Amino acid sequence: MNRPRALLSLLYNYARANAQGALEYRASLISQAMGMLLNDVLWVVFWTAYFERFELPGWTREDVIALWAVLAASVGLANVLFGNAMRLATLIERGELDFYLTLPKPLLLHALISRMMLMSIGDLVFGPLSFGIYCHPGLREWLLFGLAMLTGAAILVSFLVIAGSLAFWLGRAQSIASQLFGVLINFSTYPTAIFGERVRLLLYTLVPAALIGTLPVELIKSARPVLAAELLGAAVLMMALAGLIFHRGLRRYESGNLIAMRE
Amino acid sequence: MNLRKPRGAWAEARKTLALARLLGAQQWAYPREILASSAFVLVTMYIFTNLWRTIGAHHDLAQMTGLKLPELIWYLAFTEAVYMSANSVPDGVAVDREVRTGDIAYRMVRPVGYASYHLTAYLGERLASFLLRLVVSAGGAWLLVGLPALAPAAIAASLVTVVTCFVADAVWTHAIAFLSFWVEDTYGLHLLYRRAVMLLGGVLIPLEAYPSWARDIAEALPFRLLISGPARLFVAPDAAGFGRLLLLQLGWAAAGLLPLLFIYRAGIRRVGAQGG
Repeated sequence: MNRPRALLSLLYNYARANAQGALEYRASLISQAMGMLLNDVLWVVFWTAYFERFELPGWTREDVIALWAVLAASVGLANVLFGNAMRLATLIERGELDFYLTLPKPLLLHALISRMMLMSIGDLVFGPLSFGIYCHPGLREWLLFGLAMLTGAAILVSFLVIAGSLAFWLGRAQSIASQLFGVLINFSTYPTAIFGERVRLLLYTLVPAALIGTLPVELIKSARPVLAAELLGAAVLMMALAGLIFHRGLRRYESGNLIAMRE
Repeated sequence: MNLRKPRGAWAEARKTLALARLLGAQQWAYPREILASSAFVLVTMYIFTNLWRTIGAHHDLAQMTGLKLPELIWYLAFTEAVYMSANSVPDGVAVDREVRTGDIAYRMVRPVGYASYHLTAYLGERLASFLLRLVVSAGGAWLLVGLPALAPAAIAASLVTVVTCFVADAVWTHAIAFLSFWVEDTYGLHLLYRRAVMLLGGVLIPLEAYPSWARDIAEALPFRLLISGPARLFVAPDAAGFGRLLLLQLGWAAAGLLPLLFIYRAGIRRVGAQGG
């Protein structure tokens, strides 16, 4: 019942239902997605202005735009396909996992994909668009960009699951989960070269900002197979850790006795 | 007693002030939540301290920005407190929600005008949130670069211009928020407005550090009045600049009243109540 084909079908049907729901408010969806896209474009303008007067050791304007492109694409993919990751702590706190517990699909995956943040399509469009325009990639760079986007999305969703799972132990954790995510994104939009060694160590481990920002750009520039393997390994490790922590926490889960179980 | 009956401008002003005080006090009810959410401000300050140190290793910061490193970080502490204080005031989103869900009907029967309620709520909450965030960001700046020589008069002048900045910002934010009578959700528009304030207002980098073409654009637009103006006064006293900034901010606020009132009056006519 939970073979890959069945899970893909579940994902497809949720995507279709969510898209149909979002398109009921078409003007709203378009304005939100355009807002996201233009927000990212403003950052390109900012970095263009920055590199006209200053420099970053070992980084060019194109490198920083590649960093933004990979990150935006990863965030876009994560939010569009796994929209509930951002509010996992709220689901746990309110007892809204009850709905998913009664169904035969894998609990965590089902909870994550049942909501989509379609406005993040703006980020998803910005990523490849800015990468194509500013970085003049060939086929190899495009493939590496795709790989970095996938590993980035996997790491982001895993991080959100770990942060959201804090609600199993803390009760109310949405605020802290959002803060942790904000810190991760904030650090990942700057090259790690500007930080000291201790902070850099942190950015490769506890707050894995380097794995979704700096490292993917190094991979695209150098095309080193070892780096690709490291990124893939890190993504798999993060997913396994997120699954482990979520299911450990699930043992402490208390039902919400909700009548209206889903928003 | 008819609470909605107009009882003069003085009575309206007192009612509005009482509302602002009450809603501002609500922010102080959960100081720990705001302090925790200020972690983001501290991270940004830490990142930019590193960025400025990296730049400072190759360039003369004072020549490029008009400020030395400690002043730059205190400038950042002030701009972050002003800018991030808007995050804990989801008033634009509240108007969206009320229009979408129909809750606007409940709000409109209250003895205070719908638009003036939201403007007042915004001002009270924003000011309280700013003061709390300023405490956190100033603490961060102190830890990162120590305490520079700040003139009390300059601090007072910058705080006055922050209040007028919030008034102007409230007017324009609500001009955008009331567009929800047509588009249901103004999140995208708010996001663009806030990003324009951030980048063209000089939140992360003083406008003087921009290349000339970007500086010209920022100088020609009013966003600098909301961020860079008050923050510059905070770290670099300027008596003449204070008066000019105050006038320009008030002018920008007054200019916003026209679209605000036009959008609100046109939009409110579209509201229809059904059922109960």
